[in-house]
Amino acid sequence: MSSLWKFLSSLRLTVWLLGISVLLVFLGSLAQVHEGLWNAQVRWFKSWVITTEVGNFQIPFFPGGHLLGGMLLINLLAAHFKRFKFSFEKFGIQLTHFGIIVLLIGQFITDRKQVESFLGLEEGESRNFTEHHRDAELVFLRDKDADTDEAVSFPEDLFKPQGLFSKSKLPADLTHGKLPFTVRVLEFGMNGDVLSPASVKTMAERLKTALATLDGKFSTAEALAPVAEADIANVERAMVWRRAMNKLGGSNAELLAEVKREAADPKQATGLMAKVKKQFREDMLGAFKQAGERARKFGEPRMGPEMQFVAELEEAGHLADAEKEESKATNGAGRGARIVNRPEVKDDKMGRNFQWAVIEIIEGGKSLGTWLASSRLNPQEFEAGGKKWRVQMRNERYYLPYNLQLVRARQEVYQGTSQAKEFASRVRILNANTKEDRATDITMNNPLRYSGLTFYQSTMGQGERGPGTAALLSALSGRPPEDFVGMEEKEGGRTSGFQVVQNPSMLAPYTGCLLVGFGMLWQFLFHLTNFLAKRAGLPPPSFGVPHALLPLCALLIMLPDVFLAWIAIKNGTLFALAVVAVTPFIRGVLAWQVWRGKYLVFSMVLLLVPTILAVPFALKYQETHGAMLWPVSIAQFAAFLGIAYVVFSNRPSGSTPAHA
Amino acid sequence: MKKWLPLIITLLFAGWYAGKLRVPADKDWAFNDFGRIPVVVDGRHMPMDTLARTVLTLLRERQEANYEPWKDWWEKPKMVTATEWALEAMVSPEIADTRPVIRIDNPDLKGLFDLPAEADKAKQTDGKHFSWAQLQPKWNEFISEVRRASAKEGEKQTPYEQALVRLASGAQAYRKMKLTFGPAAEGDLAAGLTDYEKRIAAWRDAFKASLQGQDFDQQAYGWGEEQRTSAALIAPRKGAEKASDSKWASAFEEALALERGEPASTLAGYAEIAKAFRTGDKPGFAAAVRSHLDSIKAKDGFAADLNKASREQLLSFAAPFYYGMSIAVFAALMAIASWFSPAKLEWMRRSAVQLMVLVLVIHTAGLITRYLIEGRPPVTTLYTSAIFIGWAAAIFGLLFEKIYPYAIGVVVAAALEFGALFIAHYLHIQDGATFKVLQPVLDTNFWLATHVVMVTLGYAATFFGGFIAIIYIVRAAFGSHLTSDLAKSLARMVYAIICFATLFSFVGTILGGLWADQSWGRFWGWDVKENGALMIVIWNAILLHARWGGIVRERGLMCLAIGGNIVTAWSWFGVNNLGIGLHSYGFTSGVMIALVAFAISQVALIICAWSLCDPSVKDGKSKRELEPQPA
Repeated sequence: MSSLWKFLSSLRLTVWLLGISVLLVFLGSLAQVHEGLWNAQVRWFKSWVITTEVGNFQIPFFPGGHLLGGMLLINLLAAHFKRFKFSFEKFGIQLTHFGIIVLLIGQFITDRKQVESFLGLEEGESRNFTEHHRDAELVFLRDKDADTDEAVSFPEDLFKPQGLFSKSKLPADLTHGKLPFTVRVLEFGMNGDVLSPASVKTMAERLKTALATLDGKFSTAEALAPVAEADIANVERAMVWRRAMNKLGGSNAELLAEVKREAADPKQATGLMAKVKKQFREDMLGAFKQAGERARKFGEPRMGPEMQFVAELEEAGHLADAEKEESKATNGAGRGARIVNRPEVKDDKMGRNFQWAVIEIIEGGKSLGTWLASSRLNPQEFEAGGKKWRVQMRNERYYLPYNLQLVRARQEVYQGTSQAKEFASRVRILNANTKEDRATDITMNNPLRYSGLTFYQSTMGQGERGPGTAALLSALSGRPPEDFVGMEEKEGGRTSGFQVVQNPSMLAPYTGCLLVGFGMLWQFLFHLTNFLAKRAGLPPPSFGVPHALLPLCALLIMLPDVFLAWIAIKNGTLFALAVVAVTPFIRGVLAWQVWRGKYLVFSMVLLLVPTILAVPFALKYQETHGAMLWPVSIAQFAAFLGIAYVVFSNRPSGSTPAHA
Repeated sequence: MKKWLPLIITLLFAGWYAGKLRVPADKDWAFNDFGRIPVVVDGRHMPMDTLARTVLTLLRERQEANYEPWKDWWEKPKMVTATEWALEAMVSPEIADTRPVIRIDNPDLKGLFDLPAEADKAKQTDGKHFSWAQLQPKWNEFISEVRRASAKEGEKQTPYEQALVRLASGAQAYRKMKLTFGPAAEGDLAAGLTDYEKRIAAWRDAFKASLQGQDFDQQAYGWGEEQRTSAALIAPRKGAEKASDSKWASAFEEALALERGEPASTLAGYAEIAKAFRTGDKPGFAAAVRSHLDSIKAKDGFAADLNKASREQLLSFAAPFYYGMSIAVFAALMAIASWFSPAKLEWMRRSAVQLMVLVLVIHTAGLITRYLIEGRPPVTTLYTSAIFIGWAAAIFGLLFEKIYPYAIGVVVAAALEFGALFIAHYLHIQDGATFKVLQPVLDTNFWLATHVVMVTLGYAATFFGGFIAIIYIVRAAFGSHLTSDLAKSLARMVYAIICFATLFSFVGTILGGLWADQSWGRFWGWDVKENGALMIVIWNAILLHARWGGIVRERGLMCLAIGGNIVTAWSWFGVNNLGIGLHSYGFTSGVMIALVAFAISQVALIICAWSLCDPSVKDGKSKRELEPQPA
């Protein structure tokens, strides 16, 4: 046991753990290139072990972030438990490590408990819920009265296969007290297109027609020259000819001349025709497939997924299969629909997933049939327990006990460019519980903190009213730009998106940062002071002469905390709260030593450095809150002067500077 | 004599630099006065001088133009300043287009344009510099190649594709620059306007047709959009609401105002300038430029823009970072020379120190001038981070030299100053410009002044420790040069600077987290740049703990410090080139190779250290005695 204890508290373990951490952070950064930020984070940093798939097994091969963080925490705690003894000289190191403990625990809680969601609003619109970026929920809705719905929702984690060995595991049945039935999830997919059989047929017909047209156009080699002449007059079709002939340079006339030369030779003409036809076919299928990609990313064109599907069938040579129906669900809008799985989108920037599930509704042990729920389909109605229910798959929602309304979304650009200079949204908080109805601004670097949530400016759409509109309209009409400024300032039509975060350990990083910062400063300044004091011939740390001024100085040292506590209580700002949580203790230790007349040189230095550092904070605070932080600096500076007086009035006279 | 020698050397250098410290007076043409005219390009206020230098740097990687590059230097090729070249491009583009100022090195790119690859005096080409006109015959092929290349991500482009993209951005800047004078370019405003208004009318028709989804005149449309959206803003507009909020207009907007019948346009002044230049009327040119400058000065709220422009022009001519870099080389050489005989060559060490003080003064003046122009804390871009690292390293080095006068601190200071400024110079050539407008999220002086400065100080301090370690290894390799006394001092220096590096990088990283918490809603998001900073912190922590725990001694400490160089270089440059993450602002081609080469050299040094015997054991002391106590 004692050897284990020794191992756990050893510095050697610390060094090894830190070394592995560097490697983990490096590998985790590289992994982001291929795995995407979100996935790499989950796999490398928010995990206990990192596994890789070998055959059907997940083989662990590297310790994950949580394991390393946990081990470091144990190592730190053990080392402190074993060696801790309060001493002024090592107070800084202890403070630093305590801060790191706070940071590690805080980050762990954040990883586990932080909830991020998204709120997108149009000008004038108001909402009382936010949505998850990625996760879907299966929701059952019922009219409660004319205005309100009753909703029972199951987040996707409840029915999604996950975990180390659970690939074959069937998710449990979903039940809820308010539901008169049981839900069994038969199948689930992270991202799938739901294709209606009718649209698939329409698109298949369209593709067939297009292919037939192509066949007709390139049926005989003799007709090649006139066809080319007509095609090359068109920019886009000319490009297809160029690609087919692998000839990107030269003018169109040269291109046409070459085509005509080849077409005149029967031997070459057939080959050329096949080549061009193949290129046209490839381009057409490519365009069909692109439509699917675009539909997933931007929601347009509406039949995009069907177009992609038939193009893929044609490429595989199974276009006839388009007639076939596949029925995963027996009821609802999804009956007869085909589902085509698409790769899961792992990077939020690359679009979104459309989760789908086939569910069976079981009432009193009897199946009512199966339904297809998908983010692509509208709510579907069914009857159970004598009531009408609607089922839907949608992005997971988090309801707020109040409404947020977007009043105005505003974007500023740099002069003469379209480059954004600032994004700002004016929102109105409508809270019936607190009878609040007030407007506030959210800008970059200035989020809204309200009811435990923080709203950050994230995206913005300017529609037809963006900056520069007035200038453009003025140029087009020949009227002065002033006539159109009103148009830019008018409300309506713009959109704004907010990232919404709930994090219970929000204060932890602020507190940890202060502790570590103070601790390191303490330690390094302590050594530097001793070193410099020795060189300057000042007396050793302990004076042993209590001075009448010292108690006053000690009081001045504590004064800023009183002031900060007042600010923190008045404003509730995060940073002030963190300061109030940390500094009284640190300053108490310092004040106590000053009172006793010890470590005066060091106290001087330690007071001066934060006083200087506090200046930018004071400026920033004054800028944002209008209140003055100067008393903090002034009190510190006064204490500094007092101690300086004591130190220099006690300086031994005539002593020669001792060299370090 | 030896007592005064260092001071004399320093004064010589100071005198030499003082000579550079002004904008040369115009002797012939008033080009430098013209270079002082303020304009707004890409959202940034700058003098014409900067516009010219930026575009020319993008095209030929130099800040002056050589019109006869096939001549050797002794044949006196015709060299002109960037401003003169730019003015010609603005008002006589037909001549400027024939000037061989576009540098193309990539053989594939030359092949694409069908350009001569070899120097040939008879044909008046050096095989490297070509004119705009020479590129025109194959322009369409070039554009389609550029489209293909830019679709690829930066790190996947081949050198040929990178050359394509770079030339395209230079060409774009050149085209934009030629639009500056608008209808005034030919010197005859009335005639120019008649033609210009016709084109505006055609653009209006095309634009309206495009809005209604009809076929439209693409050429007229493209012309108008280019004039409207990319021409530099040259005219101060009256009616600025606040003095700090000056509003500028482009030639296009001025022409519209004239069309509406608004009086007194700046275009008339520009037409005067163009006319005088085109007709070779030197006094007329000087007078026209002067009267334009006076008119800006007289306008309420625009004098500040003019002052800033003058300051920036002076900064470009004084080039403090470039000249500072040259002086640092001398300082480094002198200090290294003094190693061979410290007692006899003490004057060399002192000269090196004084030269570095001079460099620091020049560098600091440069930083302050940049602040006065930009109004931003010192570090906003990759370029400025390099400059700041050099500055911080110079300060660290001089402080160390004061405490340990062994010509170590000053060498590291000079080496890092030179290295950092060299990198800055390279980045400048890559980008063309050294000032840039900032993204909305960066528009906060508070976080830029705290987080960014702290992190950069952390980089500088870690590099500093690593470079001392390199000196340790190099001197240990030549056995007699590393006395155990010196070795101990070096170890103490490394330890001290790494302590500060830990402090700076930790506090900087955490402040970055707080900033992220303020603007994106998460304290830590495992973004690659965040990870890079974290790696530096952990690495420094390893170094400190390994020393406290007695796990490493002198040699191990030095090896770890050299490892810090790799980690810092990765965090500084490597992560930007992964092409992902929130901080991917500074992709620079060729950096990955340089980075790998740097890492290999550092690993080689570590291996080299391992193969040398540990000097601290040589003294015959037992290990126990040598173990350092926890600080």
